[in-house]
Amino acid sequence: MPKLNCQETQKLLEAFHDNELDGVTSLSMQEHLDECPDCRRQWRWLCEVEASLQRLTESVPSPNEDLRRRVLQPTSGQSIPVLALFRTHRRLSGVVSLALLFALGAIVLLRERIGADVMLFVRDSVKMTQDAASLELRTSNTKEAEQWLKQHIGFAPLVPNPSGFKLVGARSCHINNEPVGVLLYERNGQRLSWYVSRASMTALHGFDDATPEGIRLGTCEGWHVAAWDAGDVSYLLVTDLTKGALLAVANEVANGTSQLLKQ
Amino acid sequence: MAGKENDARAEAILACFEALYRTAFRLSGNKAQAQDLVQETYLRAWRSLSRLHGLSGVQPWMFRILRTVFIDQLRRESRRPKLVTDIEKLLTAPEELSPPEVSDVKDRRKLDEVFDQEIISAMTELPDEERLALLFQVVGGLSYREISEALECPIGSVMSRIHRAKRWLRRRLAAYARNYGLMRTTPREEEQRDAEA
Repeated sequence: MPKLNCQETQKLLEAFHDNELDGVTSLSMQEHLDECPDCRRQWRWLCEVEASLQRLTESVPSPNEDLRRRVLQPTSGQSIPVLALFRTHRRLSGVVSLALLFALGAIVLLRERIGADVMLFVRDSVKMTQDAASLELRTSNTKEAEQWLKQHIGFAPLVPNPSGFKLVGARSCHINNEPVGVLLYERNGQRLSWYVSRASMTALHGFDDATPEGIRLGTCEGWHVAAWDAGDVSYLLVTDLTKGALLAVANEVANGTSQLLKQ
Repeated sequence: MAGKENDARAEAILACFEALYRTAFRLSGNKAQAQDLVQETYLRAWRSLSRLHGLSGVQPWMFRILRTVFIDQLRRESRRPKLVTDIEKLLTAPEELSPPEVSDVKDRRKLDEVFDQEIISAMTELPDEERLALLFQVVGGLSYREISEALECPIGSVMSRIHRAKRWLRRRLAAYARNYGLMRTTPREEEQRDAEA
């Protein structure tokens, strides 16, 4: 059995704790720890920290009861995962089914209405993106644009700075009586409009299903559109970039990674 | 058939609830934000359910969404304005936390409670990607492979992130170890030893 020195032992402590060493090395480790008080202290310290990390799962307070109920409610009209509820409340399943049918009908009608409004809005957006003359503020300064948006839509969104794009200006409009802030960007003659509002702009008919990040892509009048929600704010991008390039920009803007790294 | 598949996927998604909530709580540090994170995670998961293929990858998929929601939340609140990815800066000179004022160190439970709080506090200083990897493992119960899928990075990166995070925590809290006779060396000495190794 090979003898281990202190350096070798301390390097292997984590693997030893996780039972990742082969039998021979484990025995060598054990032998060294039995003989060396300094390494034994390091070992006990590592075990203390590991034990504390394991306890992190124990002291978590229970979530509110209604959280389970809330996460059971899907928002799209796909499959409704009520199996878990039905199993525990079989007697109520008939009543619940009827109520859900009515609710679904109402939601579908509402979505149709909202969807139609959003599509009209997107068509207008494409026209506006083509026409830079509609801008109410001409600026390349993001801080100035942020201030302007705050005055016109009632809140201050984090203005994105997508890679390679230059800010041209800002304007505002409305959807479903809610104010919408719009920023226009340009890159090598290509245009990108960024829309932000508290009104949802993601109910888009004929658009792709959402990506895992919640972004929906589609095409309108030959232009590409991406939409997503984040909390109570909704975002829309309209551009003449390719769909792939738009998705990359949308991911960048949605994650805000580049901006956060710059700060 | 498609309905059955969707039901199976929905059940698999719901089975992640406890692990997601625990992880969200440790990420955000409070119950209200953890609930918001979990609710938003499920909201996005239901929207994208049809894009989920097979049941084996459900848990990493849900944790990937949780990570996205968490980063979105950080960005919105701008509580932590930078997404630090370079832990080496922190590792070069970790400032030690002072040991707690515990009058009776033989009171093991009390000591554990105080120490656990310090670990939780120290974890908030870890770079986001290291913290996510560590919490996905110790709180979420994910394997290295599942974490690599959730964080969309190679398994080797996951292993090194977790290793660096734990090493950093041990150094950050080294004063505790010395105070209670669990370690004699200083972090500087340990650093030198690592460099020699």
